[in-house]
Amino acid sequence: MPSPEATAALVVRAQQGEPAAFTALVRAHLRAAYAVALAVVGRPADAEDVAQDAFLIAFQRIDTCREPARFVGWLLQIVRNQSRNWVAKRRFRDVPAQDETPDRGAEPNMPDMALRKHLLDVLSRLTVPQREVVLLHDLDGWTHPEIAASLGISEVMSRQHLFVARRELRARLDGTIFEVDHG
Amino acid sequence: MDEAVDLSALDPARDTKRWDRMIASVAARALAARRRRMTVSHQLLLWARPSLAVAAAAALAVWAGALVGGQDAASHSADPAIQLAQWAQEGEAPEPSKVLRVLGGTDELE
Repeated sequence: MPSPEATAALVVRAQQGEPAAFTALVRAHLRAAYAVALAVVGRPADAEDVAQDAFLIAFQRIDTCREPARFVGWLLQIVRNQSRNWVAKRRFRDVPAQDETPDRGAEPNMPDMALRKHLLDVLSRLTVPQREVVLLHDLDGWTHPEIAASLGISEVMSRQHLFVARRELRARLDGTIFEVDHG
Repeated sequence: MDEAVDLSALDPARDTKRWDRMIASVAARALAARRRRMTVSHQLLLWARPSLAVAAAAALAVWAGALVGGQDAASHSADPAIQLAQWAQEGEAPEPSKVLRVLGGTDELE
């Protein structure tokens, strides 16, 4: 994740309407937005849509972002609100989760799809904050200080959420996934 | 327990081409929406601010001018009283034409 100062500079440029700044902000933070959306909506395809919609809303309101250095926390709050709205609407027009495809437009990969489904099942057993922390940390490479600052929780709580989430994931995915050596 | 869990199966950025397309699409849609908002009414709104500032400055100038003019008028109107008081204090008996001039009259009677 870029530093708050670098993000703030991009936000100021975006507020001035500079196209390259919009692209840079999306490139820097779309995956984090996706991670938070996935923590709430639980389906990757939905999370991608929510993350994109949240970015569009954020850019519509970019002039009201008075603290550019806190853009990420502001963006993730929009993502969270959009995700909750999405879940509320989905109750009325629900599509079975089994219809989920790994990457729309990509070649289907059956073992990958099975692993993906398994991961989603296990993640669904965690709380939303636990999912947010483990996805931001282990999927997008955030540090605990970054998570604490953006989610409005303490670093201790962030570590606690990560510890519990990883323990649950390992217990239920034992032998299914590989651990990576960057935590 | 300190090692990260491999969640890459859920990572949409694995398909880099698709991910790049998604990023470009979001940025393009955001820019298009921003341009749409920059409509005539928005432009007028933008122009309204400096116009309002100019109008306010003009009003201030007129008000300040009136204030200064008013003070002049007041000083003029105060002159006869002061002059008359001064004459009274000094026991002076001015010419009628002088009195008329001080009270706003002219020298026509002279």
